Amino acid sequence: MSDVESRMRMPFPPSGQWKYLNQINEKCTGCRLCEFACVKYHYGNILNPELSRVRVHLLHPGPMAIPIQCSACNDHPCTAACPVKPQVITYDEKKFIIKVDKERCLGHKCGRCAEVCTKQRSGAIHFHPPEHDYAIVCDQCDGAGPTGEPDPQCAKICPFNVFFYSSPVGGENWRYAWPAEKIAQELAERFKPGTAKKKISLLPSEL
Amino acid sequence: MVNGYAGKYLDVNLKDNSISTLPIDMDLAKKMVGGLTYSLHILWQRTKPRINPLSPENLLIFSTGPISGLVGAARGTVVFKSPITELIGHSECGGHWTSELKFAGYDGIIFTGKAENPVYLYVKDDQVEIRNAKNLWGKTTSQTEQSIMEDLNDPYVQVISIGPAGEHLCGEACIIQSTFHAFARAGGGCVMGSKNLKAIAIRGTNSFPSVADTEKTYELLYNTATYAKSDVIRSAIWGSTTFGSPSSQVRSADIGRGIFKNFEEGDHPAITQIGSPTQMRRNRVWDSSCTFCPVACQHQSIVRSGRFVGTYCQADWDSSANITQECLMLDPDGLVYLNAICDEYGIDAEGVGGVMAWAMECYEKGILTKQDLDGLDLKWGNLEAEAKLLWKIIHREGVGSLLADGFKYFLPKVGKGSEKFAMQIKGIGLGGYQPWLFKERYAVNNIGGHHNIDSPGSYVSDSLLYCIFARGIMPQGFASGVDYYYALFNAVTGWNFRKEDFDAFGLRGTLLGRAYNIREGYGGVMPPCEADVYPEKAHHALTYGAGKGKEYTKEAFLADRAQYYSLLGCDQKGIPTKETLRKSGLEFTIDELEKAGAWR
Repeated sequence: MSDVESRMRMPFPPSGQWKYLNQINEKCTGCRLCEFACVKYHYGNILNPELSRVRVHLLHPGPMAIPIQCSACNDHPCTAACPVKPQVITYDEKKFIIKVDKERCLGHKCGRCAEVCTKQRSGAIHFHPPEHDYAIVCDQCDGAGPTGEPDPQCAKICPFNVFFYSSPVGGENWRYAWPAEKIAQELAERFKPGTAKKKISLLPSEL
Repeated sequence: MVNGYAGKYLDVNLKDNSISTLPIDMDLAKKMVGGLTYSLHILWQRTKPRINPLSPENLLIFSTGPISGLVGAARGTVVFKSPITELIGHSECGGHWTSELKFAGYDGIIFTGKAENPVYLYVKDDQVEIRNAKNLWGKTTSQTEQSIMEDLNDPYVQVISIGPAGEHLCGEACIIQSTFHAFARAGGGCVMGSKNLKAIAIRGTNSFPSVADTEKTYELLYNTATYAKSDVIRSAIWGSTTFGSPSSQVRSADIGRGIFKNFEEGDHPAITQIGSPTQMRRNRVWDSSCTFCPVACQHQSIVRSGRFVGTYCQADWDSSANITQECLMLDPDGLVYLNAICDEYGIDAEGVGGVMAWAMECYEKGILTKQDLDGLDLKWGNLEAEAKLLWKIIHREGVGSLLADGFKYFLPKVGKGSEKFAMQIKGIGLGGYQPWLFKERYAVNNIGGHHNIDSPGSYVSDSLLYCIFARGIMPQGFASGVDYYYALFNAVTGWNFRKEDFDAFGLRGTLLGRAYNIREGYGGVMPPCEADVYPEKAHHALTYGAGKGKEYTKEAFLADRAQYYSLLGCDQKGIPTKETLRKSGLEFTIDELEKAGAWR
């Protein structure tokens, strides 16, 4: 089964029962304010995008800005990959989010969750050793909401409304849990026909 | 790592591949702030007077300011001695490189010497390497960037590079960051090419340097970012976010400040076919931002049909005005096409557009014949001939080799009165604004006929390095974006500058720039008042449409210039008095200016 097929077969809970952080890639301008808000919420007053749960990839052709964060897949292959017992990286069935126990995590030297995520999904898990050597994964800002529910800060700050935290409306996002490169390629084909190979189609010397 | 400064400059000597760091002098930083003025001070201290701009002794200084890399201030600057004016050359550029450089732990990078073979510099935090760039030489800017990103296998690395124009030492060559952002004007790419430096790849993984008042800084940043979503700010920056700076195509013609036909007219009946609403519907794909900026004033455009299908660029007013309006080329797809070539091959569209418009007028007047132009039928608005001439200039082929040197060098060679309608000042072609709008400020500008004109004010923005396009954003309760930047500067540095302090600092920067130019012999034209002048054509009256009757006469210009000189504290020859220099804290310049014969 290819990666794409495995994603297609990902079981989704019935609409209305869950919320997730969806995004419209076409709207992203690459301002990276989501990274700023993410770090501010999780670490306070410091500015270091390396610690952000959402990372904006600036890819060619373009540059095209593709924000990537944990999609909290329903089959969450990262959790099964965790060698620690009990698991450090777990899936919260009620809030539909991934949680990491920072203290017990083995860090980048283990890195199996990140490996499996990169291989099979979007590659949204990373580490920032030495100080923050644990799986840095989006928890959709669990606890930020008024009654302690998840309330993603990236969706709050984004000036271009790229993110929305909602139940799937009208079917799930079909780019769900795709890696940035694949989204970029797909966008390039849809919006910039023929540019994936060449930026200038006809050189002046060929006119 | 204090007050928003990373605390050190990287000092790279390409001759013997030595890399060291130069710590920031905080006392000097309080006086020179950072960015343009601080780098200019380094240039003054470390270069001998009257060096050849393309010699290894020339410096190429990339630098940031204390607030650059924060919300609405993603800009950085590059400072060098310009090869086309032989005066100070500087250029500011947004993108994502300033924050990345700060995260890597540097305020700037100083290049000196010349590498034997093509090289590029790789900076990742403390790891700094000069790498072989033989396989990159000859590649276009986006190919270079892509190739470096693939080699390093890092999607977050930021690349600054030159294209073939810089490699061929074309005077108008610029430096390109992240495919679309350009350090244009004054020939930075030419200096970079003369050092055999193809690219700089920057990657930082540390935190932003510590600031004086953490609470207040982050509160300001967060409030500005969130308030940018409000209707108040969205409507204030509506022009930028909706149309971007290309909206100036129509707006400029509406008030008669367009530059049609080599500045002949300020308005044109066919402007709507190229202006922003048309361009937006026809070519726009999506928008693009610099780091932590909620404005997204840059719009990526693509040609969707016809022979250029698939060509794309990020059209900007200042880059497209000269290659379109000034050459009377009013084809929106042609705009995207020419812009894309300029970005890819690393040439300043604004400067080279002026050169081509001048060549078109020469062709019309018979000064340059078809034979002189290698058989190009360079009629007004002939896109094909324009593209081919651009290609020749980039690669220095035939007539392109002559025109690639810049106005200052080819005008005496061409002669025949062509200098009268060469719309340039001190060797740099005028930007996309009529002289009646900018008045004396075009002519007295330290780097030449640049569109960044408000001298003392621009030295403040280019040294703090905030973005004038993001001036519309601010936290709730602020009167203007500039107030936000000043408050942010004070929170980050803890220096409590008042408005007077900023004004005095701006004046200091302007005077230092002028002193540097005088030390360098003012491009061979002394006293400065001989060089601070418009070409004859700039004083003609406009006759069509919204521009009708608009005129900036020589008399009005001379009166304005006299007023500006006295505002700066210069004598009527344009030379700052010793008292002025002392008052601005620039005593160290007096000796050298004396040697240069400034007050003789």
